[in-house]
Amino acid sequence: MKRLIVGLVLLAAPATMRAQTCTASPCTAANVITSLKIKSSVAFSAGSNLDFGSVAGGTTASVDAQGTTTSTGTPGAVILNANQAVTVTASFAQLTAAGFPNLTVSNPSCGYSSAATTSTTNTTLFICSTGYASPATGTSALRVWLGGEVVTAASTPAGNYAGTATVTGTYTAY
Amino acid sequence: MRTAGAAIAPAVAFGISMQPLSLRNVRRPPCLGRWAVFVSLLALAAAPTGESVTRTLTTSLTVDALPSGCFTVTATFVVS
Repeated sequence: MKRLIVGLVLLAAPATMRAQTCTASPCTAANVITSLKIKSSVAFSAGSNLDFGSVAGGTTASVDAQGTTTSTGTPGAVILNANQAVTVTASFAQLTAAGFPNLTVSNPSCGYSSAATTSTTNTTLFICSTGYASPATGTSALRVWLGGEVVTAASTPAGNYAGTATVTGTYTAY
Repeated sequence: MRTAGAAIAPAVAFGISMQPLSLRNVRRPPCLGRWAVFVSLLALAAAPTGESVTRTLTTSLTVDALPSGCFTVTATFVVS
């Protein structure tokens, strides 16, 4: 057992701890390994809420991540700051109003842009459930835009409906 | 004293004379189990772990009321 421990200690010891014989001058020491860990810094901050707009019952409210809308809606946004790669996904809860049937968000739309405003030119779409992997070098104030569609029936009661959308960033913590 | 009887039996069957083997003389394998656990724990501590952050925003939609009630219809008749 003791011999085993001694052997393991010798194996684990860096090369510089072992005897080194120089045959010529100058005598260059073996390289010393250096290391540093940069800690993860990943955070979402508030952007804007997602408003599907206003429609008559029996029509579909639509607003996509690039801001295209048929119902005077506005896409939602969160802002990502990270010093590493982050996979961003989004999910949508149903919109509810007390005593009324719930409304489901269909065709979810997600996109990202470095610009503070969204458009067909500066926002790149991605699949909300699959996600977008941000660069490993990090992102500064990356906007993640959200949209989707809500189908209403002629029998859908008039009123104000509200729900939530959740953006999740998954990363490797250092 | 325990003997390795099972290992000796075939030798006896072939007429080979052997002394009983004491298990005390058999060298135990090095105790690597605890070292393996220790090294595994070290590796686990050094490995990066998966984390996630979330942000929730609100969604909204207004469904307009359909026109209802009385309508006023104005008609003009021209009598000639």
